[in-house]
Amino acid sequence: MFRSRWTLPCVLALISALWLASVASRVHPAARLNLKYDRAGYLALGRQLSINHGVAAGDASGYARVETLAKNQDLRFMMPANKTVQMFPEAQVTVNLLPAGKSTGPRITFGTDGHPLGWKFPESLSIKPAPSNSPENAMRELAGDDSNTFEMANPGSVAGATRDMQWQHADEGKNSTASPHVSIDESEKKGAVFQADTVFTIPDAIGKKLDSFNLVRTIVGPIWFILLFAAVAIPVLREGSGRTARAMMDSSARWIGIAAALAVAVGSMLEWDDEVSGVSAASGLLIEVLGVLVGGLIVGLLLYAMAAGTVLNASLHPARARGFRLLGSKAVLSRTVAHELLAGWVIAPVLVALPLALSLILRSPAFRGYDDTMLLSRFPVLMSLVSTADQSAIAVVALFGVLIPLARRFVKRAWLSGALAIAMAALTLIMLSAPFREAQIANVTWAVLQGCLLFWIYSRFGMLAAVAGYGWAKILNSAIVLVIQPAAGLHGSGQGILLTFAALGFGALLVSLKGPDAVAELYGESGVRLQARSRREELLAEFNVARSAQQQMLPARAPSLEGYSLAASCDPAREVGGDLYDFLRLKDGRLGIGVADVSGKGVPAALYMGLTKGLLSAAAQDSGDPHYILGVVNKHLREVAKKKVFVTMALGVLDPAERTLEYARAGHNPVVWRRASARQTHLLGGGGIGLGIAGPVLFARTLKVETLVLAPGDALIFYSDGLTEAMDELQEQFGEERLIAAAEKTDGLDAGATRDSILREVKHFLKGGNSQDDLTIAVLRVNEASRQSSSAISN
Amino acid sequence: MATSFSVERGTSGEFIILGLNGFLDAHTAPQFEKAIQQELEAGNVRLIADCGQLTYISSAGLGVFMSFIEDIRAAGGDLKICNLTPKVAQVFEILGFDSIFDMTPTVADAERSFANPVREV
Repeated sequence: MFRSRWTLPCVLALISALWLASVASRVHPAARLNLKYDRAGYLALGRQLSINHGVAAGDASGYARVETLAKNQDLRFMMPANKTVQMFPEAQVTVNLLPAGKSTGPRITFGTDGHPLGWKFPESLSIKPAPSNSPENAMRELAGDDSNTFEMANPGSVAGATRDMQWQHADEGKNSTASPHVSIDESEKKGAVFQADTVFTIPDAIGKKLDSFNLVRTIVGPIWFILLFAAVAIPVLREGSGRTARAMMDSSARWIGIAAALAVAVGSMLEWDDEVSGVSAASGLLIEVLGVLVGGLIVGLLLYAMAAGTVLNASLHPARARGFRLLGSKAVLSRTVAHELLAGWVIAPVLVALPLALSLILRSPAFRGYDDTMLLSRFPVLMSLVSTADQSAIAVVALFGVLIPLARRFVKRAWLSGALAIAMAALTLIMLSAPFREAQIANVTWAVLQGCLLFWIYSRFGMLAAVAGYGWAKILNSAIVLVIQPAAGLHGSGQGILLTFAALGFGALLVSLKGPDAVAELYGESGVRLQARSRREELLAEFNVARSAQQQMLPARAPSLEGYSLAASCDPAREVGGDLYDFLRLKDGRLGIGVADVSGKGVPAALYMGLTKGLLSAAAQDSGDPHYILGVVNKHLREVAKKKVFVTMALGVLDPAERTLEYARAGHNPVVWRRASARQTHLLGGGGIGLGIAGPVLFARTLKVETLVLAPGDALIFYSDGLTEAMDELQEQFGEERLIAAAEKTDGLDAGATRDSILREVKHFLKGGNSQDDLTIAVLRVNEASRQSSSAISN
Repeated sequence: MATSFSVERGTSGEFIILGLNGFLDAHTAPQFEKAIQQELEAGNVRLIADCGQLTYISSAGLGVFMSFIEDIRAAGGDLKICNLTPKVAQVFEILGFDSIFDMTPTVADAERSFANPVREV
């Protein structure tokens, strides 16, 4: 499997992984979070603080969450000399506690170093007044070593049962940016401090500047995302009724969609709320789990399914959507899926290393690119896996599943559609996260580079590889964010994620090497799996014999005919096919030209093709009348095929001397008549039922025979539906209009050159792909210098 | 590509309406064949194929229509085809099926067309 397309991604991945291992702990922005404790550690700090303030919380359960304060990070970056601003924490940890037997409990906020930023004890808790529980002590706890520099700004007045007291930094006067603020309960609790906060006030001038940073993202972002999601939804909605939409989605995607829709309905009622403090430990856990599962995975799956359904069923780009589609089927453990997952896995270290390297190259301290949601989770490993299925994954699916295939469909120039695809990818990525904060040039560079990488993987391996690559990178980044934290518990969780990442990658490698090739099972038309290699080779050899035998049934070369040129070819889609063409020398000196197509494909069609050829030759011995010839073939086919098989045929009988052509169509595609001198092109319709379908009377009654008077330079193009129905990779058919256009370009060419020119057009349209059906064409061209003279047919 | 096809059975008065959904090709034709076979075995011979959701039909699919029509008509019934999309209609017409089958725009028209004399095959 490690063909050349794997070499470069693997080399890049190896370099990136080694580089990350050596420098991540120093250059990764999450190193600045500097979490000193793990989940249990912060919970213990919370219990201790509660006890110190007279709340019996020794046995309290609870949860802790870390939150990156992006605005503070921006401020600190903008004003490195301002000591007060440097007090603004880059991140905070919120601890919610629930003492045993209580329905509500303390909520405490810490800096990542464990220093308290504020707390709130619900009024329903009994708080014992304690010597340490004075407002001054509370202020000192919040202000830490700097407490001497704060002075009372507002002694507070009693409002109801509470009194609000505020301190502010002595140096800053009334423009203080950080001030401890304490609420005490004056009446019943007798001085107990039930709420304390450090209030960070951003000066107006700085605030405005900060807001403008996000202007582009706040305006352009939503518009772009509406476009992205519309890209997913519109193709589904356009198909109209639910019945169509159901038919569009294949069964696997349908089930994922239904399950996801149900889960979203349930999940919307149980949305994670970080303000929840009065929940029981059990429901807190439940909410955390559901928040993770519902908020991320399920919404992701719903749109995954929609996107998959859209992509697959609108058939924009079936080959690249194949692995993605198999996700929802029994073939999820097949090589195709594993290949693409592995490709994404390989590229993940490159995706993680890229912005880090860029931040070093650009010397930008503004870089911030990590996810903090899993840091203090109960299940950091699970959380890091699940976080890959959030709304950003949907956006990436919409991008690679719908927008890029659409661009490639409607923009024919490869370089232009490629550039458009990368631009869309970059725009999506920059809207999902602009990790360089206000350094917009760095953001754009990062997004374009990452877009190129993902697009490269998408083009090489498919849509699943690109989406998975994005997801894998998030997992790997989560692992690094944890591993570089000082707290031992977090470090260990990070190693757990790294191990999981490695194990999943190894699993993908194993399946892609040893797994079942389910694609053949699901996509192979025969459904037959040829397991024994020798038997397979034997059959192939037999098919090759059959193929050459069948080709020998066709005229070795077109007859030469004075004043005319003739050419034909037949290219079966499989080893043997059901198409045929023939040139019939008739008794009356005329020449019959027939192209026929047997229903079905493969061996059964090939057997009937032989029969039809025989019937046609035999009938043509008796008479040159198209009515008679087709009638005979119809009668015999109907008897033999027992209504299971039918044949369509276009038959022309040329009178070379008169330059006329009698033409009949038995259920076959209309022949193209290019009248070069008149600069007109016709599709020759006319009635006629396919051979083997109707009884002799009905057949004869419906068959119309038309006589055409040909002019010098005219061409008649007989073909099978394999030509007009040849599909490119976007499932678009070559079609009659392109055939007519191709025919119009052939004026002045002889029959052979005309045939070659049209086949070239088809091949160009297919872009190197193969036609799914037999492809047959026969051309008759009246020479420009044709004279009405008695012509002789010779071989 | 794997293909998806289904037949939805419905009735309208004495008529059986077979709603064809998706791709009718060599792989899915047996499903349609089975559906018609079941109707014949149950003695239902006044059939309407509603092709509104039929996105593609191959020659093998056309073969199913063909292979039953005589039996159905011999039993005093008929098989009407209605609601064809333009692309599928073109396939039927090229093959000359319009000479053999009544093809109508709607199910209601198809029901009314049972009043027409039965065509020969």
